[in-house]
Amino acid sequence: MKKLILATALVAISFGATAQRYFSKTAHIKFFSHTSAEDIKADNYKSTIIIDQATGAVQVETLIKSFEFEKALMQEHFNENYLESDKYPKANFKGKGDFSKVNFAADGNYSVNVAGQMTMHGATKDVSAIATIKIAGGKIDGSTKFFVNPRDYNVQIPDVVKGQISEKIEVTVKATLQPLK
Amino acid sequence: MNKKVIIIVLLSIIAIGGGVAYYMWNKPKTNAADVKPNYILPADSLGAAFARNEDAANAKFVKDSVALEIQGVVDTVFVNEGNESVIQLMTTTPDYAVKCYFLAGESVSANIGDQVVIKGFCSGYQLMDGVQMTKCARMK
Repeated sequence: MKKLILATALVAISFGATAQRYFSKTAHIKFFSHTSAEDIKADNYKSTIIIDQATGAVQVETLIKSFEFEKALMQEHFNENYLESDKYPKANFKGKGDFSKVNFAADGNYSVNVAGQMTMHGATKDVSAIATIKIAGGKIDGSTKFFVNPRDYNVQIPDVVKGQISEKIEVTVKATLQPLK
Repeated sequence: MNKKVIIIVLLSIIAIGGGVAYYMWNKPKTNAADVKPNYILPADSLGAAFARNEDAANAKFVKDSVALEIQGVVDTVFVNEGNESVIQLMTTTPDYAVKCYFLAGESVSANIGDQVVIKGFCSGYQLMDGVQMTKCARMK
């Protein structure tokens, strides 16, 4: 009986040692709108991602005013007219993924289904995507891509520029994750 | 008014309108160097304001029309993957550091421990990361 308790304790300790949380504070979030009239791209290289392998919890947080556009005028319109970043300064995603098969300690490539809710511009919608995790030489790279419709988040686009902004905006997320100690 | 005058007036309006539109479309990104700050405060006070009440701090500091001048001591200096120089200022509230982001490509010289004054616009508080300032300009 003592042996069984000891073995159980050792398994629990070793599981606790490997099941960790991983994070990035420099995650890159890009969105890209393509129409025949114009391509619009914005980047934010300062977003936070946290993954908890044990619970599967995934959390992403980004500040709207920290997105950078090629043109200053586009950035102004994005903040003032569309995302109203004075009123809604951040966007976030809270969801879950099954990371149980991911061995963060060894090289490998994994695909993980992640699903949850994204809140932006005061609206919350279900979002799901396949995330790729690549582990090589101790470096953990995560990425995913999904599409959002601005109308789902109550973003009002004036008729005069409707042809210039896609209803299917591609969102790409990339991050190099580190263990959270 | 004869036809010639009308045509000249119309062409002038089109030319001026086109010029203004072209300028607006291509206007360069500018940092906060020449903007008069609405608030002057230490980095520690800014971090503490967000830690105390994030909604109240957002309402006060996170506005396109509100520029901040922050005094602080340099904790970290780095350039991120977006080629933005970053100066992180020390604060006494854990997880509420103030991170000042400069326009991409702008080089910044600062050493850890330097006492600095930085102007910029506040984007808000981000989980684990702290308070972000953008379009920053080092004033001292």
